[in-house]
Amino acid sequence: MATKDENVSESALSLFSNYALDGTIFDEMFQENGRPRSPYQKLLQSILELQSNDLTQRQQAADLTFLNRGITFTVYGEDSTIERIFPYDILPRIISEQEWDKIDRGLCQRIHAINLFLRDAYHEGRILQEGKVPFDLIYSCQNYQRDMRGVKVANDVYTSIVGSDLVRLPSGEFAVLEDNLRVPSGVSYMLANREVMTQVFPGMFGGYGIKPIGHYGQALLQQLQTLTPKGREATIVLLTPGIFNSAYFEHTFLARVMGIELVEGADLLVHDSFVYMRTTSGLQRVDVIYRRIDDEYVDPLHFHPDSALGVSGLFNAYRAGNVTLANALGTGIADDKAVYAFVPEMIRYYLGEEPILENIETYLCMRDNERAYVLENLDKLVVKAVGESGGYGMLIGPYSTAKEREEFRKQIQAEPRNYIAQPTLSLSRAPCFINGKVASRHVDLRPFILYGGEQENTVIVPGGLTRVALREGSLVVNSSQGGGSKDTWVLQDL
Amino acid sequence: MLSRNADSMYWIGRYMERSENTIRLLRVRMNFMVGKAAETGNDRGWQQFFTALRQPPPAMKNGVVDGEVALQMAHDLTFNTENSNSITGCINKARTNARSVRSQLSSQLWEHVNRLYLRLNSWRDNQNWHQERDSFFRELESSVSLFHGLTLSSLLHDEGWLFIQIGSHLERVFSVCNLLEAHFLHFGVDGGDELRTVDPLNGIGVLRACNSFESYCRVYDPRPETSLVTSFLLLNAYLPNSVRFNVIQIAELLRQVAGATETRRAGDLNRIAGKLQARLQYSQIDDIIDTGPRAFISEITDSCNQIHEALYDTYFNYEIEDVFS
Repeated sequence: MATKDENVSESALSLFSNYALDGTIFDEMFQENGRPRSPYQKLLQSILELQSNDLTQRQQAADLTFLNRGITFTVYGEDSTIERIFPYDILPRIISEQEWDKIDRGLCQRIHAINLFLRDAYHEGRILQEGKVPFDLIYSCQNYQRDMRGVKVANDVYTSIVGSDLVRLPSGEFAVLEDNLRVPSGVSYMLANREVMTQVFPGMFGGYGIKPIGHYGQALLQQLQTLTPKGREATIVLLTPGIFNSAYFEHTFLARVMGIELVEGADLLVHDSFVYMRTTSGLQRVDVIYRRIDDEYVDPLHFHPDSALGVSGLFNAYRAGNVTLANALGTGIADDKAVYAFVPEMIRYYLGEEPILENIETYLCMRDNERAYVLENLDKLVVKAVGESGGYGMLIGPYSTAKEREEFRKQIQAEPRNYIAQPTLSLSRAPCFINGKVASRHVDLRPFILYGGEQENTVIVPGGLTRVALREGSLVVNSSQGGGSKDTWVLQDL
Repeated sequence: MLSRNADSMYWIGRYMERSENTIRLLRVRMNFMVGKAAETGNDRGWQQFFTALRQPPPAMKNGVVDGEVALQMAHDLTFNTENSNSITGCINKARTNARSVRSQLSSQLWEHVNRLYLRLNSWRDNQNWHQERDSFFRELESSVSLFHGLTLSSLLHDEGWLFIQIGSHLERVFSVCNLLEAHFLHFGVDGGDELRTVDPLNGIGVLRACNSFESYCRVYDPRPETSLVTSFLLLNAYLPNSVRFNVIQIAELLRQVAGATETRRAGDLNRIAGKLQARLQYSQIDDIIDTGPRAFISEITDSCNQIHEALYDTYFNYEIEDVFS
């Protein structure tokens, strides 16, 4: 493994003794001949100059920093909830400027088309009438909000804060696996990873030419300010479900970098269709709510009556145009896993362009012929429930038991609309520092997109969150199921 | 600032101060056991200790406090998270509040509180607790002092800061009052209605628990007299742990909050605080004798409870109907 080099000691090379390469899987660091890809050359050199002990110490320093800073997420156990740090791998994932450029353009195009679709779906429904996207697919979607029909959304921006999951195929091309258009999370870990990285490797950053990401907070604030005529004068708040939510750290982090109040439902109230927050100086009008609460919980009067997370009357204030919600309600119709299959069609329909980034081939179980194919090939495909996320409600065919397949078969036949299937992907693998050795693990990439109404007004900080399936061989990168993350570098062409 | 955040800031101040009080009382009490005075003062000393911390009295065996049980209770007061007077209980609550106002705190302050929390939790399973407790308590004490220092030096001195200060001064008044009350209850003559106690030596323990013994020695003869100890802790103008000193701070801080929030609802609150301030500023030891020490102390704690409630009515949880009417 790795290239023989006269200057490299044996002990350094033994770091890589367990590193597996597999021709059917794209390796982020090495080409098939075992030589490093150009973006990784310098990193490889740095790793080889360091001792395994040194890396271990830095890994521990990083873990301690996360713990001391309280950068944790909450895990709900059987009888207690505990805070855990999000497992972090110290070896960065590196993307070249050229690769990034394509991702950037592809996502701008995609999110623009999705927003046009959302506007269309809740107004004239042209794309549905013309049969490019089936009617019943939209109206049967759990996340379709009937009451959003005809509602004027600020600047026609439905989903301004997006996190799309990309995977790298064996060909080396990036493809979109799913879009998170409702309340995507993870951006704080992207920023925290970079901060911690600069702390544990203070000397390493200089020579690489890594594109900065620290401006995300300002960009987000600016984006939220465009959603109201008051602009910079607007009162913007971040609405969190509260301290027990697993993403609470992220909520406090974002509120802090934007300098806005972090509110809970109980801090807000609606009077005469205006939203106020309760402050020590009295009630203060709220103009924009960056809400980190799902649609169904934002207003107990309108949705779940027993939910204590939201604000009674919020939907009316929203419909009256007195407050902006970001993201808008009802955006879940576009990240439904079945509707996902139609995004390339949306791009062609609304923009007259070919999609820059590929979709993953998707079989809709609601279509008879595709369902038949899926049922016949359950052992080869990945089956997903359309409404689930976080790696739940999923069957990974090649790793499943006959019993699990039988259960899915029944569920698919009972509710075909609820299931889609995709070929089992071999996500690319990147080097990770695990138990004193460098090992390869599967990774994906979640860039964070801030959409401002046009493709030109869209900001994507270079990189995103690289999630790692830390268990050997595992394809599941979700933090709730043994996943971790690492810093992501987009290199500047020097 | 958000009412809920102000509420959290206030409780950060209260819980940190409460933890400090428990730490100091524990240290003083445990060290007292070692000395000669342990022979005579142990039973009452333990009772006073638990009363001052609002704990149930320790179990008695043949008319004396069971030492093992008392030590177990002391361990509980250090680590039992369910007990809102225990050190761990206070630090956990302070940290939970700090987490919910994370964006209002400096990173230094937050990380300090978080590290303190992690440190305490890693100590919980230490079997050697009893052997190492003094250095442990001392470490905790300086951690809490560092909290005060960071609050002072790294936070914006805006509303949130004012509420932390109010909480911590108010809690300190309660601590001193509870300790003196427990002193009179267990060591007092005539049920504590007299300004004399059966064991003048205990005054040193009380002063130490208020971190005021050295200051006392600079002002008075180092052989403590109950009436002087009482007037020192209640009425001294320069002692940062005296009730008077803290009440003056509270009244001033409340005026500043009223100014910062431009509220018109603060009338009641400031009146209660102002009255208490005047009472302490213009009282002498004779007034305490006339009123009776325990009655005097309970007047103070009543007023402080009113201040606490008025804070809620004014800033944290005011009636919405009043705002729109």
